[in-house]
Amino acid sequence: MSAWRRLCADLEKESLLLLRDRRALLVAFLVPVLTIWVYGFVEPPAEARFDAELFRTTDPTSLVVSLAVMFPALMLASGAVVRERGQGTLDRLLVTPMHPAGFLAAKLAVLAALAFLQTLLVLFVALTTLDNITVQDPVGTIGRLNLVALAFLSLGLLVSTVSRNESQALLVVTLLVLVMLVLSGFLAPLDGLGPLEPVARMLPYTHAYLGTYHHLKGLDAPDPYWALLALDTVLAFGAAALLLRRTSRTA
Amino acid sequence: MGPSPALRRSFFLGVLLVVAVLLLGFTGPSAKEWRYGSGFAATATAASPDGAAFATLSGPEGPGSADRLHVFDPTGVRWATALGRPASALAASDDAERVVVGLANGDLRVFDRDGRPVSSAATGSPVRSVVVDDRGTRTMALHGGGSPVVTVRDAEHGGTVLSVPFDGDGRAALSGDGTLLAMASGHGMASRVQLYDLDGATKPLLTAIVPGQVLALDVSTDGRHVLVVTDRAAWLFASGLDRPVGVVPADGGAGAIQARYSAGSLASDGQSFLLVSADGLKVHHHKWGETGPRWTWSSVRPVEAVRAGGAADVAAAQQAEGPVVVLSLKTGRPLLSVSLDGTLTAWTLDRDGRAVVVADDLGGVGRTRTAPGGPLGLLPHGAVAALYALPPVLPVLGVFLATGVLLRPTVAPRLRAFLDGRRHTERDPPGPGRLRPQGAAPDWARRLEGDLVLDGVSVFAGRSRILEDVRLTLPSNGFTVVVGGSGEGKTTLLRTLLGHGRWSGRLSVAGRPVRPDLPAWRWNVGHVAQRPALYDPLSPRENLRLFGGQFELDRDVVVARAETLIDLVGLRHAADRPVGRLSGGEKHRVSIAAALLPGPAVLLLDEPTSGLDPYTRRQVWDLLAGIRDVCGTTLVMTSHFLDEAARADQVVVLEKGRVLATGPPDAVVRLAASRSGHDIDGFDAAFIALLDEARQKEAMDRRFGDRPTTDRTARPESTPTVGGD
Repeated sequence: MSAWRRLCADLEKESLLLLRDRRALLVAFLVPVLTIWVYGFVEPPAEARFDAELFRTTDPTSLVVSLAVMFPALMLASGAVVRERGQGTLDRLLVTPMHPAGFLAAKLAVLAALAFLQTLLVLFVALTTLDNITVQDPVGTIGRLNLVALAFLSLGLLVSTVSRNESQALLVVTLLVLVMLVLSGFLAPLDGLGPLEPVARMLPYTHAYLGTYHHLKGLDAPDPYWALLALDTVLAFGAAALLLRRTSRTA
Repeated sequence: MGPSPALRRSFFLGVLLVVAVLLLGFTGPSAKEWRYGSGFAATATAASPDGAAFATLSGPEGPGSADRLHVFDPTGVRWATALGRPASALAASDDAERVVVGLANGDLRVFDRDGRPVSSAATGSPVRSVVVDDRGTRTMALHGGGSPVVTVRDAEHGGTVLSVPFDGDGRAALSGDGTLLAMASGHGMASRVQLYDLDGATKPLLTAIVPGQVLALDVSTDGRHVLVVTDRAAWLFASGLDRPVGVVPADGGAGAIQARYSAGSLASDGQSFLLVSADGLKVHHHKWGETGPRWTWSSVRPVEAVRAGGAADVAAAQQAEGPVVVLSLKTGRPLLSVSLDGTLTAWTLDRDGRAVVVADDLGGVGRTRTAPGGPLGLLPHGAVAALYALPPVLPVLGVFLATGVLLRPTVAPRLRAFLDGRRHTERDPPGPGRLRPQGAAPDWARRLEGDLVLDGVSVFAGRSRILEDVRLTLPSNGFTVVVGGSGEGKTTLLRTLLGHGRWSGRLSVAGRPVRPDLPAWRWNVGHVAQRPALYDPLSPRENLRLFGGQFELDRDVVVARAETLIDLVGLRHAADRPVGRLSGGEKHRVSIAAALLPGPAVLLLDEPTSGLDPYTRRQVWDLLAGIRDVCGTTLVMTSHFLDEAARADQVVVLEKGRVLATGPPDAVVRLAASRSGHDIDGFDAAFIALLDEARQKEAMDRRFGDRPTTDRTARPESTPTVGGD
């Protein structure tokens, strides 16, 4: 019961902070909308699967849609803990009976709610703006894109917990995005990456991109990517909670 | 004098209008449902009559080599196959359950929904066109050279149902239900029309002669009506009747010499039809039983072909080297323009007119909805067209709207001021001046049962000690100020009392040991950091509520306590203002109130007055003194300001993690005077004297190798404690 009260208080706090941070909200909705909208003007004709011999995993539409979900999620979450550290509120909370996992769970829940709205918007804009996207199962697509958001929110929270200040978090996020993008399988086939292939196959964005690609192309059946993405979410969140717990003990 | 408010408003609205128009023009209408592309141009497309799927023929070297068959549905390519030889004709039944391909070598192949061959038949001559009925039970092929032959077959087994040779060149059509075959052939001056009941006798139901060259032949889905378009007139035949039920002569009169029609199409319900004028620039819509066209649409480019839809009440017209224009069958107004990046090579409209399939010479193929399904389908075409134009703009409008909503509190007053031609000013009401809480203590405020005693407390950071054997008594309901230089251990002392860090020694209250690292102790200790550490976007009331929530209190309790504390710290006037807009002193008061919310017995304050102006510092001091008096809280504060220390009940002087002196300020002054051997005026001088003495002693020790500066591992000397007056 007491943990529930604390979680409710945390949820209220996170919701209020998010709703009052108009600029962050604006960015959260603006970035994906503009990304897809602008991409709509330069969208090339899709070549995937038109011809039996032309099957390949390079699909800019899947890349843009998954990026539009992933990037804002990562950016928003990467500032969540480190901002509290910077303004001193984390220290204030650490001297209360707060629980690190509950603290992070509240952040994740509120950001996930935002990500849900973001995903709806992304899908709507993508469907109205892009030519090479078809959604046969809207609920499934929204669910899957939300899993992408959840995974990168968790990763962002981990980055935020590890970082000492916001600029450090931003640098880490930038580096992560670049590396994950290069190794996602979009720029080069995974099986052509040589020794980097096992690394690439473990990266969350690889799972997100290939999962989105397979889903949007109706190839879901033998698809392990969503399970892997769920595992990424659990691992990243668990690591963030453990690190924060350690911080609270040694502060 | 600036422009008038009315002019400003007009200008502002004008700018908004221009932006909206630009955005609309920039995005343009679009109703593309899906689109695919490849390196090969599709030379033939066939939409299934229900519009659920479509098929294309393509090849790497153009129309003569189209040997690849692809069947699409909204999920992408449903199946694809290489035919092995060039194909020339293509047709599909509902949902592409049956796809029929006519090959240049005369073969006729039928595939099922998954691309498996169903039947194959050899016609013996190149296939010119193929048709399959909606259910995919019968196929019709027009094959042969100068005198072609129409052959209707059973799609399942390939067996011939009917085979009829043409007399000259002509056209043939199969009804959607596969029960009626219509043929029209002739040699220029006259054409013979024949209708066959495919379920009945092999003899024609009707044979009629119409003047002119047949240009188009179309059969309604139910096979009850047949449209024959010649260069002289359009004729409607009804099955079962031996004469036309309607004639639309060219140029408004029968027997006109000048050819006027070039193409035509019958709607699936057989009730209305489209005719294209021979000059190719006009499409006429007629309805049987009415005199004259219902509407005429003038095209910019010559119209090459038209198709009439059914339930969706739309028509489609292909312009030469231009897009396919979708028109309202009721009004003739253009609804959509469908095009791809390249020049269109093939296109089709489904039976109900719900979707247009187009293919271009760059390999693109796409399907575009002409009208929405469900309730939207009941809307007038103009409204539907407007709705179609809307989606691409919606995200932009949404972003503008969201921006407006989010920034309204900030922007609206400024905008209003701008439109009214005045300057925007924003001032908050001032808070109270001096502040000293009075009245009864809140019933939830705790007091220490006895003095808080630190006995031999040492704090470690790695292998070195930050605090050395600190022995202190912090009196209950007392006000202790810890002074010392930067990095001397003041904050560490407070953090130890908060249960942070690695330490040894003993802490006790009224003789009972306490464990500061346990959650139970955290209820007893409030902490005020050097920075206010609050959520700037939230109000003091919300900050208090949120920090209070961490202590597992009922929401009602937290709210009640927050209200009490707001009054206690004198912030009623700013209770709902964002903390970010409060002054430094007000923020510190909120911070102190947040620390007091669980009702702690001890309040630890880490330099709460640093960075404040003298007036605000005095406010904070008044507040703290009031809190001690009203709530009975034990206060322990670190500070760099020696005048603050002089106001405390007890002062602790720290130097390099050791306590140099502790006691009431006056007593510390006397101690410093006695040690230095001369009079000392005030606490400032006493503090300096004590530090000088400690540093001289350290220098002496270092000179004689007794005590290295950085080594804090040695046992400290006994702490000089001085009594009060």
